[in-house]
Amino acid sequence: MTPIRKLAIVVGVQVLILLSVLGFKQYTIWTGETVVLAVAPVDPRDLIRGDYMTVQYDISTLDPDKLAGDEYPSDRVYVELRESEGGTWDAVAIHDGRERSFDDTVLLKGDMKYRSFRNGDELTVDYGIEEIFIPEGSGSQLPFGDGHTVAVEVKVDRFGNAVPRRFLVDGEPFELERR
Amino acid sequence: MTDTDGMEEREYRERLAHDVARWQREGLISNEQERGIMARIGAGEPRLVGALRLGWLVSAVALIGAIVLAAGVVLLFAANWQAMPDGFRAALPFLGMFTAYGIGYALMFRYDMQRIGSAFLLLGALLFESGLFLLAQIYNMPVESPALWLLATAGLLPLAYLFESRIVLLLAIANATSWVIAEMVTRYQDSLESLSALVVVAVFGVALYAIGRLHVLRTSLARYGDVYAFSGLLVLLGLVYVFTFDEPWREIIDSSVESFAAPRIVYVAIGLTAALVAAQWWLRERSTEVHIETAAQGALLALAAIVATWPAWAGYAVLFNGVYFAIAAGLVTYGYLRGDERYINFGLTVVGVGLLTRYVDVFWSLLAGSAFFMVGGVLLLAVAFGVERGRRGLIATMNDDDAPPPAHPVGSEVPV
Repeated sequence: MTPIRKLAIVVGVQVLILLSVLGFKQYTIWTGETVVLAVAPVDPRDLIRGDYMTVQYDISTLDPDKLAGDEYPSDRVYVELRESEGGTWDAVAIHDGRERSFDDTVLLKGDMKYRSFRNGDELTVDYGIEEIFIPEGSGSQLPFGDGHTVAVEVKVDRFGNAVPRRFLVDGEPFELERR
Repeated sequence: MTDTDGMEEREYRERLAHDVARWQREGLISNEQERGIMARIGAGEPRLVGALRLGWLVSAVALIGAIVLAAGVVLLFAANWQAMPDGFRAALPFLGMFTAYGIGYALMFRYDMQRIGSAFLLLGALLFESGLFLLAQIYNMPVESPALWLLATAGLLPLAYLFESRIVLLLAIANATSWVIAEMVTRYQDSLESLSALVVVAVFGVALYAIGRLHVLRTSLARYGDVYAFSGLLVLLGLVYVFTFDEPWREIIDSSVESFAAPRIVYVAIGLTAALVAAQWWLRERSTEVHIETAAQGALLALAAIVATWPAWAGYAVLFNGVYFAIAAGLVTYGYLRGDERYINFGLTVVGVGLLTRYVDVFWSLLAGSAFFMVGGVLLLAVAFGVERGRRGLIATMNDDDAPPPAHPVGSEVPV
């Protein structure tokens, strides 16, 4: 095999891998439904990739007694979301598979991390969108706890995959600035 | 003479120039003999000898340059990341890769500058990997996502094999190891199973070693064998080292981890690795050395299964200290039998690290600060003296006429 063919194979494989990451997430953004999820923050720092914020959504902990769907879901769950009057989306049902209990809802895929019975029945679900990259040193700009509602706008495709897009404060986009 | 022949001839002369200098330093040959050998390969003048011996420096400087340049590019992107439009950010990794690979290819195949060209290929590989993580950042993928390490490995392996780059292979193996660790940590995070799942990392080390031995069976792949074997040993020893301490076992006992609670993946990993070990044993020429090596790998896998199944036992720390030093002794013996100084030095380093750790572990709280360092210093000097005496003795034995023929020349370069 000639060196140029070898290089073509190497570059081809690597480009394909990069495009697969790009395409997989871009598909969700292009085709996904927009939902808004209310959050409460935790703020660590990742040395390799700059600043990011680990957020806990209101739907990260669920009370299965208050939800429709499966009472004892398995590890992979689909949480059914419906828009509330305040504009954020709340969990209304939880399922083992991609099925719905209500109309006008969106299914968000997640992994059940724990089931605790300490404070009643409580499920902790990880959706893979809990880490959000932010400009360096901008974590403190979000007005948590000042009477404001902080939320994250998320795109969710028909398979339940999600990509967080931006922060919203009181329903309006909030631009974080580097310090 | 073809390009490949010319390349091999050059590599041979450069290697010989290094070896001859080493033999002269060790007193194996005289100054006159050194000059005679160098004149025989056309390097009679001192400046030509110097030029031949500086080849490694060019490689080292170029490789460091590639790594530093990649780090600089990543930092530049990271510093201005938020100011760039999404489309431009997405295009950057591709542009960086294409440029580095283009320059590397031109240097290697148009201008016959293998060493600098290889460094640019490494730069391309590093930019591919950083591009992968930067793209993931655009889409807010979780930072500990194991899939990214696996994708990086898949992208690097073709480059390592098609362009015969051992340093890129090492990078790919490092990524694969990170994938295994990340997969186990995220899958069993904060669960009692997580401690048993760590056994998979040690098993992966054994698998890498067996893969290395399988590579040696094919002439075209033999040059990668040592990279796998050394990487496997490092991964295995890294985990065995952690297991030589009391703390992990005390934590397991305190956490009430039950027997037979290990996740299924542990046994699947052990089974697959056992198949690899059996395959390398079956395909290699039968010898006492191969039998012992295979038995050692089998014993490690059996121990992994026992630890995963019955993890709550305080005696494991002592047992793993035995395993740690047994592996070190095995490395020294293997190096001696094969006439390969690298294994001897590696084994002795492992012994040194093990002894130092146990010294700190035992005496840190027993001795006053000054006494701790003084006694430690004296012990280290004594150990270094003993190790060096033993090492020189072993190397001298290797050079005897009746010693077994070396598989790798003594003093050959580290396999990366």
